[in-house]
Amino acid sequence: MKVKNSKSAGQVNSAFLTKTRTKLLDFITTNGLLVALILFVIFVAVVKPSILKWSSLEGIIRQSTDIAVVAFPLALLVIAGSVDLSLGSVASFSAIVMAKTALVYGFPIGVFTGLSVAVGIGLLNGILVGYLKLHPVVTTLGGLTLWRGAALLLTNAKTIGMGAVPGWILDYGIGLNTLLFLPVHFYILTVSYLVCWTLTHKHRFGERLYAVGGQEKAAFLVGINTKMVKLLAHTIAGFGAGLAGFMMFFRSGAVHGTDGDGLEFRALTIVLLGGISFQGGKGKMKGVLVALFFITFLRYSLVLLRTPLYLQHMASGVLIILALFMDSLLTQRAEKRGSGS
Amino acid sequence: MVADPKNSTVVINNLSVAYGTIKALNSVSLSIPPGQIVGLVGHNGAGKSTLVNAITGAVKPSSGEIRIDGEPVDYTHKSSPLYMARLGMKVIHQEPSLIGILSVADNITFRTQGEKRSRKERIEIAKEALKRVGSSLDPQKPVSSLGFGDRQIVDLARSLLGTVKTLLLDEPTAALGREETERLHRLLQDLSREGKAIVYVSHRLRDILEICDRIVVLREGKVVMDQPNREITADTLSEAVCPNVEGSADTAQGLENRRGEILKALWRGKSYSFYSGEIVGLFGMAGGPQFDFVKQLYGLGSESLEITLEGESCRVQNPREAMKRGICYVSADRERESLFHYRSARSNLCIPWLNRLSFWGLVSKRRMKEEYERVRGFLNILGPSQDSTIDKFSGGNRQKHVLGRWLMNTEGIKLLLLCQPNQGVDIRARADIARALQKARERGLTILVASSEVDEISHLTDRAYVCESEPWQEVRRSPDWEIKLMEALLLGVKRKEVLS
Amino acid sequence: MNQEKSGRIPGTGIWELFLDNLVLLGLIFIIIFFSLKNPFFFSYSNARSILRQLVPIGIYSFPVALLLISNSIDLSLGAVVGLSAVVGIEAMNAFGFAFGIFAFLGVGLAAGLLNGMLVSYFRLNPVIITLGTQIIFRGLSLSVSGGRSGVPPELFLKIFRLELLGFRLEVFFMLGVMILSYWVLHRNRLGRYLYAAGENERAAFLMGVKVQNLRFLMHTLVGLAGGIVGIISVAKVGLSSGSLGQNLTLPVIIAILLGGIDFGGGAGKITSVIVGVFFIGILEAGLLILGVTEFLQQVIVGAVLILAVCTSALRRGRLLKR
Repeated sequence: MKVKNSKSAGQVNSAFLTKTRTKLLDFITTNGLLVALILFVIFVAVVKPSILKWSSLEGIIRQSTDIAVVAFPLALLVIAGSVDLSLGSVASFSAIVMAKTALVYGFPIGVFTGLSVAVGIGLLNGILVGYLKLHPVVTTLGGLTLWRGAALLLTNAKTIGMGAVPGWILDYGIGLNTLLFLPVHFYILTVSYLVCWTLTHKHRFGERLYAVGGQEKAAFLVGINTKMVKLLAHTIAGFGAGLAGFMMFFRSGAVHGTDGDGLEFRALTIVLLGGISFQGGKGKMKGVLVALFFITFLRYSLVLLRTPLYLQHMASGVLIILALFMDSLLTQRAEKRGSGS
Repeated sequence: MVADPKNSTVVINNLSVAYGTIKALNSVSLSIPPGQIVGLVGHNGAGKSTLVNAITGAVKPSSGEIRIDGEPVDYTHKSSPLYMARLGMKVIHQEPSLIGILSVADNITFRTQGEKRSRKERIEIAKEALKRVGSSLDPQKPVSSLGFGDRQIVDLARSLLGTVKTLLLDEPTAALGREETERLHRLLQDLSREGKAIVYVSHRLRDILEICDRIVVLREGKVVMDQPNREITADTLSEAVCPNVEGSADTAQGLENRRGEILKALWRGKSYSFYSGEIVGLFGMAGGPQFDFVKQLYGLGSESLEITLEGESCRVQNPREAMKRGICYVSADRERESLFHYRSARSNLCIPWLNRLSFWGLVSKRRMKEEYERVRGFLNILGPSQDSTIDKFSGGNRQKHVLGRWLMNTEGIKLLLLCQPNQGVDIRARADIARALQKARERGLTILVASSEVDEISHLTDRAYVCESEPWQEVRRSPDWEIKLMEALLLGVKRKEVLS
Repeated sequence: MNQEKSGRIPGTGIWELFLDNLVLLGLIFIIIFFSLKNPFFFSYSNARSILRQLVPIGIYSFPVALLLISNSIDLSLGAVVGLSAVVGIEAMNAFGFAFGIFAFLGVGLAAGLLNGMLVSYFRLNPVIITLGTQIIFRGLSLSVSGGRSGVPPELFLKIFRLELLGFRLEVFFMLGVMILSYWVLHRNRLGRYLYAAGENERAAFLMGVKVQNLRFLMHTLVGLAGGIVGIISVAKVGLSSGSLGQNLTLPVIIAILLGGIDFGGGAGKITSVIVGVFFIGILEAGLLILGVTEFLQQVIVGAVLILAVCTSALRRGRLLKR
């Protein structure tokens, strides 16, 4: 830190100032998103108070569940040092499979099949990346196109699934019916967060995730089965995608091959903004939760404020870049500070 | 002073380098005249690498100065090879920076004047350069197809393009075979006859005695010897290099404690036995076979050793299998292969034992905390709380965490393999570690210490094999143990020979 | 005490020979396959139309291949094309032909500059960054075009649909790009710097290669190429729209991967990339001729990408390593 004040008397004060500045910077970087979220909420509430209505908030929660169910497992995967860019397409594909099977064999079997397909795809990715050691970005980019194409192919780009969801379930899905005054989505969101949080921070699997993502060679040397860890992480991400597919289906009672387009990038933005480092081995789930609400709130308020579609689009792109910026800044600061002799 | 500073190419004057309160170099003065090969030796931590860094400008001295060819070294350039070249100095590192995919000729001419020429011309330039270093390598081969020795030749050929007044070789023969070493030495002699000043930094005392005109020994940051080669014997050299070793009190009883044979390993045709309750050193040159041996015991590397572990004959294929059989390993590269930098100290410690420290998969923080406290006492870990990241601990204390990983659960472990455990560890921590290893030994654990540092071996082990030649020579603890080890290393098989 | 670096010597051995020519074999295979399914496939006029389809991929693949060799990546390819097309045509219709051309190229250049700055000077991860810029560019092109398609002026179509020796100018341009890339990579020291930067950034830097500047330059060139491809795409389709270039990014990546270059940087030959370009170009054309739905095409392209990654990893000896 450059000390701009003059020497002697000024020196003590400037030392104190820089110390406070570091502490403030620390606080902002670890809780920055939360601060930003609060500020943003206040701002929007002032401009358009209708956002604080329960129906708006409830809508926000319902909207964010889709992405939450993908973002949390994706965070887990990124911590392990890998990534999956095909999750949106997998979600769509699994939803299609769900719908088609449900129409023939009934809803429960449909859901089961759809979820299994998603898990299977996650498993496949896990094998390609974990065991064959292919580059996760390109491989899942291929998956992105493949499964999207498959989804559209199977349905000929038509909407399907009408009538496959039993009426009473659909009521919950649309939001007509609530469980203890809250939409079912809220519970799904909470459960998926809790599961991922437990896995990452309380379960021994989480310790291994961080080890593999942070320093793969060292993890290998202490006897961790790095391939298996990555395989499991990918499978969990696949399951998350399947769940998202379920949400898309259950929310509207029908699915289309283009559903969930861009889901993975939005999820990735949330993961990165939530403080999970793309390098792996760093980050906390609760950051992802805050980022999730931040992004969803942002989207919702942008719509409410009638911002044009392209600006909303661009906001995502800018946010990803910002998230990366912050991540690299933090890594550089940590390297300067932490690497004492 | 053997050399006259006025006529010397490299002049080091009262150089001191301090890291905090520790003086890595203490008022070192040295001159290297043209046409002389000066060997620089010293054990780990003696200040050798600091001196090299100071000469190349990577490190700023606290006091004193270095002049190369009359020019004071400027530290802002941080040892960039281009800056060094301007001073007429070329540094040859152990791992040459070459671009594997490009050909020998391309690498030799890379970023030189000749680079702009046509392909044919570049090949000619390369051929000339290679001839100068006595090599007939095909300049069109890709560098990735070359072994270590040839790569070094390419590096040398490249370095000699343009005017070179000083050549600094840092551990040049660590990865070379006998023939390649001799070839290198002949070349160095030619170069010194041409009037170049050569600094030869190495662990390999035998090579130093063979080629250097003058030998400088560093110990604890000071020059303790600076004499012409002909005035030095193997004995005096070993003695000068050996550091003052302290605190190896308890190990004298080492061999009495040992029990039954726990491991028999077959290496290059000979079988070596290790017993329960002993600490055995494997001493050799930097990058020597002792490290390969230990790695293969742990299932790393492309081949696997035939071993008999507790009577059962087997071959370990990978680390997981090794761990299941009770074999554990600590790498020499702590930062990249042992530590999880962003994780807490507690996580770093408990990482291999997650299965034991969890109920139904959920990690028991309470138990981890207990285990940590236990190990903290056992190894005397000093530093911030167990929740802080491991990076906040000093090097020695980090190593305690790495060792503590295995020492915390000695019931399940039969064999502990350590590679250079004292590297980057301060003296106090070394004592703590030695104490902990001895206690573990008393419980029946077998510990193998692979190292290229004699003080590590003498400090920690009960007996040692010198792995310089096959079969390995066993040297047991005795009053002048360190010197005997150094001699054995120096001279290979013949122990009593004295070079004069 | 010789410690040989374990690992095969690349470029020798039957296995390597097979892999190197695998794509070529595949190319021959699909030509035969498609020709059998539809005799029209193996005709001169079809070859011409395939070539026409191929040109955008071709022009883009080479600068991007150079970028990849220097260990960076640009995933915003398609979006840059769309943006430059939209802005270019709007500018052309408003301010005239020359201005419009400048706009096309300028947009591409600016995009490349942005990516280059973020990746080289701010040292951010190129994969994520260019995914981000892709979203931004796509959004921008949607906004500028307002969702409508722009119509290029007559002059534009006249010039860029000119033919020489029966081929459009763009084909010659692609040839030029190919030759230039070959020269840069294999006959010029710049190419050696690229290999160095990709393989061992630190060593290259110590040897005096300005790695950051190099990557920045490459990104800018890729951006410029995007502008040019924008011109060609508009000429081909006859209008500009915000979604132009959507199907460009993946085929380019596939072509490069099939060309033996992968994300680790530091290896690859232009000649292999040429084979890769033809492979994907002919594959796409063939699927079109067979009347395969665009959805099945997507599936096949995705699968081919994954296979391409496998072969590329195999060639680098990375597959199945411990």
